Amino acid sequence: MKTRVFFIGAVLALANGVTAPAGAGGFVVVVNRDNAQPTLTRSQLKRAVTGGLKQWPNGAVVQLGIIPGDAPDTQYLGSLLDLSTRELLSRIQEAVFKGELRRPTVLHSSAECVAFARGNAGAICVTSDSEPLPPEVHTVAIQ
Amino acid sequence: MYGDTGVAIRNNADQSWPTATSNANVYAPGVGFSFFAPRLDIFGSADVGNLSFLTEVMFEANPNNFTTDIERLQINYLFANWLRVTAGRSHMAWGYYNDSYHHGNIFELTTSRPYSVNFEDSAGIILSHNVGLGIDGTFDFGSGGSFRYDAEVGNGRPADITGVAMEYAEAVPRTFNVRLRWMPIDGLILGVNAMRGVIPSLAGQGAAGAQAAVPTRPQTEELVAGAHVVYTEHHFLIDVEGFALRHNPDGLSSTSIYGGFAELGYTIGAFTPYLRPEYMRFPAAGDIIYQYAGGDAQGLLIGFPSIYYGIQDFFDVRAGVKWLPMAQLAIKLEVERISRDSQNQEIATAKAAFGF
Repeated sequence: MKTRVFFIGAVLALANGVTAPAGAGGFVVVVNRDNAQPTLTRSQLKRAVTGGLKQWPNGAVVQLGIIPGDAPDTQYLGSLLDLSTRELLSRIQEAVFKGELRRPTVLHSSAECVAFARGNAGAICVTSDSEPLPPEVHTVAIQ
Repeated sequence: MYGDTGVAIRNNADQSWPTATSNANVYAPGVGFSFFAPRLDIFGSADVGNLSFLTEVMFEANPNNFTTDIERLQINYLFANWLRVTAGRSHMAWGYYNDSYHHGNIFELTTSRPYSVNFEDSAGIILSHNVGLGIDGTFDFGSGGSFRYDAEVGNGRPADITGVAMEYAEAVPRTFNVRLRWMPIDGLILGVNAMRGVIPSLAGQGAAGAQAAVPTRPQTEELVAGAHVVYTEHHFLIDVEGFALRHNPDGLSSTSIYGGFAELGYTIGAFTPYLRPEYMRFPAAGDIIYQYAGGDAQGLLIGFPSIYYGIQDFFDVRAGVKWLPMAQLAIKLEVERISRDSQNQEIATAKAAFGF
């Protein structure tokens, strides 16, 4: 079992007014190569991030990785879902408390996202599009 | 860890209200101003592969002494998106509020739960906890949205309706609950519920000296139907829920209770102003389960009458604002008016709910 840090503090700390990502298009959503999903709708992405979608088609349990703060990566994920960073993180925390979502893996950088996606078959996270991707990781287009 | 503390000011403080519960609204009769710090909630979760564990350990004041409750103790196994099995003590999949909000008040908009979905030891009407088995799952229909089901079987209420049958069931058959939801677009939930349970008989007392006999409360079938409409997108939180409850006591006439509430909030930055009206209609002749007098079998058991005793219309409306000034803190300022038939009470509450 992986150790995960409880991050409610950061969840509720962020201002609701954050909207646009820092450089939309400068980030991508990535998953493990065992997850053959080439695309996700925004609705599917939202469900994966907030506990509505619990398992990928390959059988792996959805495991979100996220930087629990006002990082550009997290802003980008929020913008994909039409949520401010604060709203996004609040919903994630609430879903964990309800038992609908596994406690997210805490990341600190885009590089950690890639490493996380490389080592976890159910992983999903956001990384900078300038971050080199190993063969075990691929991007998912968000429609 | 979660908890809350605050202060409440109320008029008509001479109204009767039991202090021997963990209800958020308790007060000593005649005392209209009171501070409170009644709850500490320790939350934990873990997972290995498809197996997950979750618990909520509550330390709550009742009355003016902390007692311990394991409010949730559940283990889940995820087979697929369309099948997850849950065993243990969990919140009943009823409506939206009951299993969306638990004991961490920081996540709720208001300072306390609606009366109809409050906990068993806090004058709740709808059975709040399930000790047993549950299954749930979601089917994705693409542009048609998604469909979710929940089905549960559990011990149901014990004879003392303020308790939870966590160790053994006191009646057969058990409680059965089904919830069906359609989520046609993001954030919109349209759901219905049906639940059947049996509340065991509760022994009365024979006549003793000048005291009259207290009749035994008969075994009672409880049938409940409910519906909910929820919207949680674009900074809105709209939760409208209603229920109809039927009691069929052995050898006595059936009675019905109807009720519902609407919670409306809109988030602007760190502030969420809200409004929540709630109404319940009790039978004119009283309900044998939830409207017990102090001298009835249930009243004698716990030492006080039901807060719904002797009334037909229960109306509660509260308005307030939730403010998140910092990471671990929600400040809630709320005014509330409770009407029990013609008896009214106004309450102003300031609460700090926190989570670390």
